[in-house]
Amino acid sequence: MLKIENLHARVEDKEILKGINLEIKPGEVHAIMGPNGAGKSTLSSVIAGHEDFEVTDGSVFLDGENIDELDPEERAHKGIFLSFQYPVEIPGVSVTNFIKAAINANRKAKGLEDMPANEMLKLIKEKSSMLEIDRKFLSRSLNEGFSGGEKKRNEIFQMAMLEPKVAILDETDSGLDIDALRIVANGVNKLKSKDNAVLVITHYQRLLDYIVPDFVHVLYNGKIVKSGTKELALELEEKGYDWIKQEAAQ
Amino acid sequence: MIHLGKNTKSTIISKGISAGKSQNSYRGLVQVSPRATNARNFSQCDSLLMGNECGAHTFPYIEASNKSSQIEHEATTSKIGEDQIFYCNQRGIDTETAIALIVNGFSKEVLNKLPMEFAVEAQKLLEISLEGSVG
Amino acid sequence: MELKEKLLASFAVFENNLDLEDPILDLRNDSIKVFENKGFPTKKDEAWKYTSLAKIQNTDYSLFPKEEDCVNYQEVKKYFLHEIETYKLVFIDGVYSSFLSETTHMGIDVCLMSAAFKKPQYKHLIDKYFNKAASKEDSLSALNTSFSKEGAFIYIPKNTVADKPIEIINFSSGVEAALMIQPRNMIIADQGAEMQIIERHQSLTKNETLTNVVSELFAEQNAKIDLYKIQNDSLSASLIDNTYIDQKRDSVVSVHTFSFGGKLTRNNLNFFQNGENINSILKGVTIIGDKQHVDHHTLVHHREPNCESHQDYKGIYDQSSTGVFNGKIIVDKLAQKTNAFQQNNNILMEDKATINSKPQLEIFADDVKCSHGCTIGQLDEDALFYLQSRGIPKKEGRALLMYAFANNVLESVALPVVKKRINKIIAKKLGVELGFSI
Repeated sequence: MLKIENLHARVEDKEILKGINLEIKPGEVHAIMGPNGAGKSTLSSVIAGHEDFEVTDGSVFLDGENIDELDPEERAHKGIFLSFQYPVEIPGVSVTNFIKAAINANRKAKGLEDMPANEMLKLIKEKSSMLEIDRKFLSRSLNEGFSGGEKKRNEIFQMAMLEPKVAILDETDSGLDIDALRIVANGVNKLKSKDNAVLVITHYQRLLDYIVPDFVHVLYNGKIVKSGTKELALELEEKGYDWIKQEAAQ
Repeated sequence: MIHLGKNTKSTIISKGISAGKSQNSYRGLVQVSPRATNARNFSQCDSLLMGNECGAHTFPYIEASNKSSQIEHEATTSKIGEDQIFYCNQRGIDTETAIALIVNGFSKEVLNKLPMEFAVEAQKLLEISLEGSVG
Repeated sequence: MELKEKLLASFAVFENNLDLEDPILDLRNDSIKVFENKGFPTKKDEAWKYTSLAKIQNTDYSLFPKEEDCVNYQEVKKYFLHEIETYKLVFIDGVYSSFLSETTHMGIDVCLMSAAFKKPQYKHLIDKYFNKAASKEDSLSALNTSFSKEGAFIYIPKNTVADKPIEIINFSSGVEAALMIQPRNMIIADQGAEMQIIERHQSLTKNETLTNVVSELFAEQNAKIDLYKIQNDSLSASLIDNTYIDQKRDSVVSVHTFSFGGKLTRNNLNFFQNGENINSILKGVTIIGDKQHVDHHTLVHHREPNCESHQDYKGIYDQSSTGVFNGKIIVDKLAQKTNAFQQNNNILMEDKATINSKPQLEIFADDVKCSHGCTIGQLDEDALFYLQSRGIPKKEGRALLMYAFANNVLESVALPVVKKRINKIIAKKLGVELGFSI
């Protein structure tokens, strides 16, 4: 579904990704862990198409199609979703209005008409209750004054509404207490299917107890230096990253 | 805004949007005359900057000659950040629509008070004025 | 003898009686030297401009209680939380009371500072954390460090949620005419850990007490600590509370301070954000009256990007009470995308009440959102009349308005029993029965 071949990318003059190879098939959950500065957030920004990052070599393919030249919104239309580590505030634009605009923009790209109002309402009701989001929340300005947990829940709410093919969750669990974590993980698990895939970027193994990965990769110094199953995550949590750094140096 | 009579109340809400290389100024006078007992005023002036080459300036003048008056003034300045645009892009919303969305949100407080027909026109006008102001 | 001299003289004796194996011998020495050089702060120190320690220095406090006093449970029952089960660390005159306490080592460590100093299994924690967050230069914190012997020691391991809230209570029995105690608390939440703590100081008689407490809280990555300080001590009690909080990335720490009692209360609350994506919450309600003085000095130091802090302090000052709020926010150059909010709202009920409020923002980064707001006013007479016109007596009406004023701080109290307890205390303070449950 998502194929990354020999991806090199830099921001300003610094090379951050130094040859990433990764293949995610439909129905799979992959996790990426790694020390700070390894390039985890850069990877998600590059897949989403952020213009600050320049791809210097390699390519990203979605369903066999090379998406390197596509704008971020085009990539979104094709089914890429990024749950941001730091969701941005947009004062004056309510949660509801924002998601309406997003859904209709996606429909327009497919040649469809705007979603009828009653259908939209039904969909919002369904997805918001799945994430234990109440009605008052929906009329607040997007992310303005939201707690960390609320911001992340809102990201997953958007994911539920947009039903992407590939969802990248960038440190969705950082700063969440155990109760908030359960709600978010629950939401993600409900959305998983054999037709979509999830890439979880996390700093803490604990999330992977709830969103169980099929594969775990370690990103260090811009490369994937180790891959394994969920046991690898437990090993990392116990031993830290020093042994990985040593292995990579050899 | 000039308060002359007793128990008068006024509200001023000004939203200024600067794009390109423009400069926007708000110059507001709230005057409470000596006989205007119990006057109340609330003024809010917000500026939205699009890009790094424009500017906004606020000059509030408050002249109160009656001690029972209550006058409040608030000012905020914000900009449309690249982060916000990218966030909208990633959700499938193209840049021009994103800016329209954000500007609309910013001006909502004022546009909401307009009669329906005029509100639609005003929104369209905003879109045209800001067309091409990206980049 | 003046208090400073007495303390220095006592230190020599205290030092001699210490265990040879005492893990912080050198630190104690360095610290007492700091106190010796700087002494008690005076009004000439900017940070103590509005809070005078002169009276305290002239009081003849006993530094070590004569004998262990037994306190009757019935006497102190009302100071504990009863609606829920809690762990309890109870000290009487600075000495641990085993029969009033409830410690544990099952999965989490809720025990004593004295044990942590002695037992080898805690040595690595003492080495790693002790005095690493507290200020070494602050005279009163250094004084506490030099004499530190007893207090609360709490360690919650990785990814563990403390199953019960923890109460830390310091009682003064009144066996001495005037007593000074210096508790030292260390609270550590390891990666992903969560805990809730309720702390209070209570004098059981009208005898003078002085508490100079230092609490160090460490929140490792992704940890969560909620601390509630209930300061409703008797009118002969003076409290200098120095709390230092070191947060690592992704952690959330909230401190709610409720200041209703005491003669003199000084809260030094310091947050150090050492990581990204940290959230620090500082909230307080102060309701005081005749001759009481409460001083809140807060500091939030933003050192890395993408962090936030929220400060909301409400104060109601009646009769001739005095209050101080000094809120300092430092945003380092590196700390881009910081969101820092500070709000201090005060109501002066009478002409003789005074409040000195000073926000201090030192911002060195340019992509930040920082705000501070301060208001000082009176109760809205129109609103009061409105309530009266609906049949609510003036006294209850005033109480209601004051309650509403303090409400958004109370709203953020996550533990319902604490909220209820604070409601009760406020109602009592305002002399009313709140005819509705909040």
